Amino acid sequence: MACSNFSRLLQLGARACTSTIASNTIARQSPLVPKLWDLNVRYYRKMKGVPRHLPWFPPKPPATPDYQSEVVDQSEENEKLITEVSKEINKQIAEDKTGRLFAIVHVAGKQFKVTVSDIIIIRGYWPPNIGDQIKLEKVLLLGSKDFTLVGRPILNRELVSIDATVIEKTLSNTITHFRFRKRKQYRRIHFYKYQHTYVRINSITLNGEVNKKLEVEGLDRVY
Amino acid sequence: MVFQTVALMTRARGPDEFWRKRRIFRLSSHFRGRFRNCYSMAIRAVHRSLQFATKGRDAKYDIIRQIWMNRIDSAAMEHGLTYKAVKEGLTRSEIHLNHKSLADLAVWEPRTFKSLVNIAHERVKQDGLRIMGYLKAPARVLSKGK
Repeated sequence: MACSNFSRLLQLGARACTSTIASNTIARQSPLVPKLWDLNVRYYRKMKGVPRHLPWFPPKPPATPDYQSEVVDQSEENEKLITEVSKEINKQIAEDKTGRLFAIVHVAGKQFKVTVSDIIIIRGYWPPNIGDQIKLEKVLLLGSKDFTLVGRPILNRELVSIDATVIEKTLSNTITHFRFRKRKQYRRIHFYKYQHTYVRINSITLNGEVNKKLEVEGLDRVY
Repeated sequence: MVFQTVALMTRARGPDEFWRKRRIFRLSSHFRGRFRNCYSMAIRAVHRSLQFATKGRDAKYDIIRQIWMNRIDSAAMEHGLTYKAVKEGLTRSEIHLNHKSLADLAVWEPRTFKSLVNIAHERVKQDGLRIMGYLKAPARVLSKGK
């Protein structure tokens, strides 16, 4: 790139010098006129024994345009596979063989990977008080021994329920915020503490079946 | 008799000298050499250390974020993808797991992470992005349910 720019610069310089003589005699910058750099590349490409690529980078496979490849309709096969997989998952849920579930929940602007009997600490102002039973609803991902349910971005509220209890509300350690400019008589010191809320995860359960279409949804809450 | 004039007020220098210095010495108690016990040196060192502590609290998160990114990258490279491709593919599929969760999954739940990488790969391939690089084809990824 640099070389091609350089040759262009040379051309410009040459044109500027000779513009007083005749502007038409110099080849203009156009795609039809090959540049010095292009000529060199062509020359090297014709030579034998010159490596085409760097040894540690394998050559790119030739891209086959889409219009040349045959499109196979796999929708039936896919449907079958999906049914099989969800059936297997539902079987595990029904027989209670999922093992210990874990989930990634979004609480107060942060994501936590939790499992049963975990304690998470939520930093900053958060209204729930000690003893409140809460249900964490923004579940981004739920994992088990053999399968993972991934939400886009969150899983269905009715499918997964994570129950938690607020067990403690305290303050963090004292944090010193000190700003100082030397020789400028500027010094500010502030002390602050964050609120910490401790939340115990009581249970993570899968309710109902995966990939099942319900006739009515959203009846668990009426506003 | 107490003269509470302006001239005397200016000389009031706050709490007792011993206790004022004591506060600084408490912070400098773990310093080295004379920075621990000589006040004029101790106070300079304490100011410096408090500034570092203030700035370091923010800078710490940059480093932690780098660590998360490295973990995601190296775990993704095991399956032939890079960090950038994984993040792009997941974002395009509306899977909004953040760096922290992805790094957690990469370390503790490798099978879950692999499936996420496969989803990202499929999406990146489907959208024809160049960041994919030279990769093996993943196992078939189908999306269903909610």
